[in-house]
Formats: sequence, structure tokens, C-alpha cells
Amino acid sequence: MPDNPNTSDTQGAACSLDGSDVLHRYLDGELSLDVQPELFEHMADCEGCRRLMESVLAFRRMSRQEYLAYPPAADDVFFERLAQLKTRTEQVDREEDRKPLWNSRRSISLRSALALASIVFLIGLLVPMPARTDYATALIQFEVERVQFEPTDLVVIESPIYHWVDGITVEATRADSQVPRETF
Amino acid sequence: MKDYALIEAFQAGDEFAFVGIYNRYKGAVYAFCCKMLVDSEQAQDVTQETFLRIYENRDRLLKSSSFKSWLFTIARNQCLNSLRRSKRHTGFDVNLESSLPAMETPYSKMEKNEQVRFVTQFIQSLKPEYREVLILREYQNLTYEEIAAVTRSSISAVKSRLFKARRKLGKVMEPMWVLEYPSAVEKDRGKKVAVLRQQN
Ligand SMILES: [Zn+2]
Repeated sequence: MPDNPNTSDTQGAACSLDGSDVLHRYLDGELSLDVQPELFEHMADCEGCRRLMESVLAFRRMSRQEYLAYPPAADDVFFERLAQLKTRTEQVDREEDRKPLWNSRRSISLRSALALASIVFLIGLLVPMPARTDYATALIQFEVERVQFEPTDLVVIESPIYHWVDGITVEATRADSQVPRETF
Repeated sequence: MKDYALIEAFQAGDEFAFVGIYNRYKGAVYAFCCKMLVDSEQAQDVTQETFLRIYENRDRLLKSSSFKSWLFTIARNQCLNSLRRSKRHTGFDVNLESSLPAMETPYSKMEKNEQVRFVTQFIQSLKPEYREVLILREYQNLTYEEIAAVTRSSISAVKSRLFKARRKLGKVMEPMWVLEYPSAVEKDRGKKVAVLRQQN
């Protein structure tokens, strides 16, 4: 299109807003009210800016002409895939259930583990109350940071042993000791 | 049910809440993927993949402040992966105009399907880094800050890309405006309209 008129080339020199983001910020609703009159004043004299604004607004209207509906058949496929994912997850969980408690990475197991830990404490140990509460909180926070739910990649390997606190020793899978992988 | 309540319930393991989130956001994610990939079938697949990842990684959401940003971060990465895989990296340079057809119809005379085609072609003419910013802004209505979070870039980089894409849009649409307001066109612009008219 060699005859294409070019806004910025023909108007660039005359436009005092060239290189400024005022117009764009106005279009994005990010320009404060007190600066807006200045912009409108400028646009009254600057065809280039008027055209640019018109173009963006027209683009917005045009882009709303197309309604992109997610097809119902795609919903069926999704729930099918989700069911497969859950089945895979459950299989992993069942294997994990046969292993020591701390191998499981579900929050429900964490709770049972915490409950167990509390019972052991209550029965056998003379730890002061506040200390125990703090420890439990710390454990929860630790778990929250650590858990990564990626059943497809999960392989249960020969486990290293974590020594939590006097009297409680738990096993963990190797996957546990990894820093959560950046998957994207 | 409010968004945050739904998300909280989902994180607590409520499966119905997850379905609620899926139903609430699938349209937006699908629209985003359609525009990013310009391929509705691939967009469906990537939309599904996105929600499967949301489901799998729900524990990681705790660290994320905005669910919407997190959702589009995942969708965006899935889209880029898909583009990479299919090597359809074919966005042209932001300064290149040859990829777009000459605009010979004034905007007000464009049919609905012509408008849709124009928008699609314009988006397709952008490289992914410009495309994603424009889509997140104009279709998904994300703020500069949210777009920066989703695209893992700085706010100034987001603005620079967005404004560049818009300036390109302005250039591409210029002939349409010339046709739209021929009476308002002065001096040498008049000649250009005459030329365009002759071509028609
Ligand atoms: Zn101007």
C-alpha cells in the first residue's frame, strides 16, 4: 500500500504529544481527571491524535462484534479429561496410603498427621502448651509452601528420612525435597 | 457466590467450586486463547489444559494475589507453548504493513463479518509479545499492572508494547478514516482519497 497515508509521519512534527502516553492512558481509564481537559484541547487541533483515538475505539467496537462461545462439546471433553486426571491422582494416592503417613501430600493427610502428632505429644511428652501450638503453625506454613500438586510427574522413590522432632520420624518421597518446579 | 468465596472453597477441596470457577472463566480464557492462537480448535485444547493445571496447582494459588492474573498467566504460557510447538510463530513485525489487506471500505460501511475479519487479521499480524498485551488490555480489560504480572514483564514494557501496537493500528486504519470523512480531508489528503476512490 504505497499510498497509505501515515498519521505519525505527516502529523508527527506538529503533535506535541508525540512520544507521550497521555492519550493511551486516557483510553485505558488511567489518566487523572485534571489532565484530561489538556488532552481534549490538544485533540481539537491535532488530527493525528483524534484519528488514533478513533482507531482504538473502533477496534474496541469491532472486537465486540465477535462472540466467541465455548462449545458445549468442549465442556464434555474437559470433564472427561478432568476425570482422567482425578483417576491418575487417586491411583497415586492409594499407593501412597500404603506408605507411611507423611508420604501423602494431600492436605487431609496433613491434618491427620498433625492430629497424630498432637496425640503423641499429649500422651507422651511434657512439652509446654504454647510451644506446641507454635510448632504446629510452623508446620502448616511449611507445608503450604512446599506442596506441589503434580500427580502426573509423581514417582515414589526410595525415601530419605526426615527427623521432625524428638519421638517422631517420618519418611518423605524424593519429590518432596525438590523445590517446586517452574512449570511455565 | 462471590469470586473469592468460590476460589477459597475450591482451595479447600470443594469440587463444585472448581466447576463454578471453570464455568465462570472458561469463556474469557477461551476468547483469550482464540485470539492468541487464531485457531478455535487449538484454543479449546489450550483452554482445557489451562483449567486442568489450575486444578492440579491449586495449592500454589495461595501465593498469588489475583486469581485472574494467575489464570491468564497459565493460559498465556499454554498459548505460547502451543505456538512454539506448532511453529506458528508467524506474527510479523509491528512495523510491517504488508500482511494486512488495503482498507478500502470506510469503517461505517463495514459489515459485521468484515469487522471481525479485520480485527482477526490485525491481531494475527502482531508478534506474540504485542498480541498478548493488546488482547489482555482490549479483550480481557486487565490493568497495566495485571498485564505485567501475566506476561512477566515491567509495566513500562507493557505500555511500550501496547502503545506500539495501537500506533500500528492507527496506521492501518488511517485509509478507512480518509474514506469515512472525505469532506474533512484537506490539502494533499484529498488527493489520496481520490486515488483510493479510483482504485475502487
Ligand atoms: Zn497530537
